[in-house]
Amino acid sequence: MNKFFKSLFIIPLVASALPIAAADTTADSYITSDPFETMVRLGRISENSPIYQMPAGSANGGYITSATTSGNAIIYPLGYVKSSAPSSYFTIVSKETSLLIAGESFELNATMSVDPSSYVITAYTDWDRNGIYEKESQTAQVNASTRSFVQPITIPETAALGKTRVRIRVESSTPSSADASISGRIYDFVVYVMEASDRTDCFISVTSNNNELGTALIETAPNEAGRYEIGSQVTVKAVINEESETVIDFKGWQEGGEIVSEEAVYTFTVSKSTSLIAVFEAAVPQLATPEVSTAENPIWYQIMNAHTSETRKERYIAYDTNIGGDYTTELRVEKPANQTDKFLWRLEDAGNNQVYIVNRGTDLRISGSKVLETVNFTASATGNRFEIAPSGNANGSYSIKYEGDNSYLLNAKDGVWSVVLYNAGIGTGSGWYFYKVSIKTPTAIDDETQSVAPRARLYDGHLTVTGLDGRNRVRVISLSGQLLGDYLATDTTFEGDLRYSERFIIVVIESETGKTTSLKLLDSKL
Amino acid sequence: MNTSKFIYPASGLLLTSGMCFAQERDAVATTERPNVIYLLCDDMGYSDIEAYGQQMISTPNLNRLVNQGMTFTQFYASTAVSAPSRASLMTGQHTGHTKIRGNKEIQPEGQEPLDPNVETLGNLFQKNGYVTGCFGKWGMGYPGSGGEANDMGFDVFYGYNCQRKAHSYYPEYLWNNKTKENQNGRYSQDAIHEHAMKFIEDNKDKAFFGYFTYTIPHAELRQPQDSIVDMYKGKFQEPKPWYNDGDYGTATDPRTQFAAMITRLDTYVGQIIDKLEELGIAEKTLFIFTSDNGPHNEGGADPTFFNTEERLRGLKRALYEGGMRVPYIAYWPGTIQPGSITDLMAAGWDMMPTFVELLGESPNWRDEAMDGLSILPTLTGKGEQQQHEFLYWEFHEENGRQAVRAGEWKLIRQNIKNGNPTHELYNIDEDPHEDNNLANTYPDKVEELKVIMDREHTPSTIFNFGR
Repeated sequence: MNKFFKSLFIIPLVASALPIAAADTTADSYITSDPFETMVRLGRISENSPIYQMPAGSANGGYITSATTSGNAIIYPLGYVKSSAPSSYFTIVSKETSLLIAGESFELNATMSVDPSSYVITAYTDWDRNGIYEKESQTAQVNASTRSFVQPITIPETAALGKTRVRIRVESSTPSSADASISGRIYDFVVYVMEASDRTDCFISVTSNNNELGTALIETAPNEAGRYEIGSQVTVKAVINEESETVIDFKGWQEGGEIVSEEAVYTFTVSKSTSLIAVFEAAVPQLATPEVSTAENPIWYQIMNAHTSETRKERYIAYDTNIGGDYTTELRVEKPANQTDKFLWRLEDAGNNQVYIVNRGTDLRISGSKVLETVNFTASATGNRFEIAPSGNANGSYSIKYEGDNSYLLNAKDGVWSVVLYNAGIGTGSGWYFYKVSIKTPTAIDDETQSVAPRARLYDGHLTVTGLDGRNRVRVISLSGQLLGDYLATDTTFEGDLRYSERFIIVVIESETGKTTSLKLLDSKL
Repeated sequence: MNTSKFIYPASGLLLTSGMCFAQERDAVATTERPNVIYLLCDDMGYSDIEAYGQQMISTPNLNRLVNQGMTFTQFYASTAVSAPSRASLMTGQHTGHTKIRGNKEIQPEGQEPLDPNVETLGNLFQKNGYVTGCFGKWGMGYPGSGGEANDMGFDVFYGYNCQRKAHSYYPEYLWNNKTKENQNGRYSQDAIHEHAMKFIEDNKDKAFFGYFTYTIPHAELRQPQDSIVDMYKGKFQEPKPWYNDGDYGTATDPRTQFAAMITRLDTYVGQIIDKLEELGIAEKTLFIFTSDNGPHNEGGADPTFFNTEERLRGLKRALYEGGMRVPYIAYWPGTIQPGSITDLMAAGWDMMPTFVELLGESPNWRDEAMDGLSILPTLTGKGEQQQHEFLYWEFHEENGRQAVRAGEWKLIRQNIKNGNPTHELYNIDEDPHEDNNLANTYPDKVEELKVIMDREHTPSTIFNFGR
């Protein structure tokens, strides 16, 4: 049995993870491993805070998918990631924040859901904390290929200490002021200006753009303050989630909207506080000609409706019993789609040039009565047969004909988003596209009998990992990517104590064959 | 020994020390029986003040309180609506045991009364020689019921007897003890606060317990249009004006009015702190600020707009975290460590045992058992803090709900009325927003928590989940 005792690394998160923590005035202490404690520590920094104007407007166009801060002004970098559009044109970002030093400069690095080069991006700041925004004189640099922009910002030496905001407006024309009405997006990033210090070390953080797809970690140990000396070498690593059934690519490390390295293991020299995003992407489904397949060798499709109106476009056939949101039926047309089972279908040969449309996960087939418009289709064990043939519309879509009948076409019903039969809408509401989804085929190493199947538990700082194959590399990582420990386990069980309490850790277990398993652990006592 | 003390043997306590009595004596010796002010505001949500993540409303005095006191990140109201939350606080019994488990109105004015046989926090303090006063909304006994504040342990009462009457901030009258006092158009919160401040001043040389139940920020969203409102005029878009529906008055700019109400409450808090300091009694006064349940969306209120980035799911009446987890700040200069923060899991019914320990009173001071545990060790940093094995809530509107939190796990049962309830299981530590229902993944945990749920609910002839 292996034992370890973490004694080398003291990171800023640990002291404040205790159940009761006294007020601490150091900048590091504001950010803790408990988001609610961090909320209180940040929320009380400024007893008196300005009240900002919320402009009028409406949402339009793309949105910011990630935002980080980097540069000499950064004590603690921003790490904002958003995978779907905000519900409003006006967004206050406060759960994720940045701690800054007056008299220094930084970059706000943002990635958008669309190419930002056709937008006007304007930044406003309020360094005197009077509630009135001033326009930042430096302009954003846009990179169309990475859908990103970098907004340089300089903080005056006279900046008032405490909570303030950086407002970013994204719209099609130049605004007259920070508070002007908008058709676009406004982001108010809540930031904190702190007293400068004489530190010669910087904060490095890494984050994954999608934790379902992969994990980001810093392999190099920090100093006792959880930082890295300027001039030192730091290695970061991107680990693809091999548990995922989806094919995943690592696209690279992104800093300030630029991919700075495409290597999963990336070493760089520290010159400033830096926040890196490990960009993972699931293989993009490809538009395809529908083909029949078997359960043994399935071809999985997302089936997207061909209608192009704003509310009806990009809706995919989905099936599950967990009905919620805008939907009332188990079989429905949902948006947006993902690669989970409810959106995946294969076509099983039903003879006579017809198919069953079979759901992945439930193995149920699309079924319903031969009645136009009023019967909502569902999925059943028997299912109904359909003929799939080109719709004839120039858009290249397909018709899905109930038992081959040209007058009974599978249709996405407007407004209720159920699936019905309809005798019109050919190539639109009754038109469909088939997107082939790459699902990993198990390989020999993925066979359960040969792969690592470890289990782990964290209780009161005591880590236990079981189910190892006898020769594993075990790394313990904090949620901000800091490596807390790196060990070789030579037994099937590994055990040890964290020197400081951590509410959450990630344990990355690597087998001799290179297969990795990531386990997110919660200390069940804390 | 009275056997009724042990009706609830599994009342949520996980004893970690057998030194309880020694701790009590120690607490008494060092605190010299401090005054207690318990400010329970009305329908204020977790993120409605700056220290709890609010970004659009100014609360400088509550920040002051946070910087000088202790902030709880996991304090729960006793349930998700007013009367039972207050009844549980008053009786020290959770909502599976206490008599009042819902808002039951009695016409023409008032609510179902507390059980006169169960002694309250007011009785506890009175028994220990304190002057007691309640200022604000009572809601636990209609006039003449024998369950009015003055009947239930409070020497002085000023405010609304009835929750429904408290929907108006400009009522025809308020109750001065058991006498109606015409208001002549006065804003009720100013009148209530004025009486509360006078209570502090009048009793500065005595031991006092002030139960301040201001009704801010409950609907309606009306108040004096003064400099506090001016702070917010024109700052927010107001897409949803509210017009008088016969219950709540018109607020054409409800976001503005709601924000100003929170800042007004904050101003009252500042005046209380200033008064305690001015009178030189701050160091002998434990001042607690909290709320009776989560945020409301009534009378034009827009909690989705204000709960910046929506940290917790659910509003008032929900047994999700947002319906029950509330701000809780304790201030006691010289005793509570300034700026301290705790994630201790605690609830409204813990106040009774906390004050029992504070006063050095016997845990068997009354016949009925207390469900909670004392959080005094956390507040004072002395003694060993016991931990809850579980917390339990029930709610009797909207087809009935129950919830149990045990450690990181929380089970919510809904739709009890129809006989086919649903169960949702969440890991609160990992998923505080309660997005991922794990009931199907951990069926054994669901069954384990169901046992607690079923055991802790004692039948009530008045409240039966709407059945």
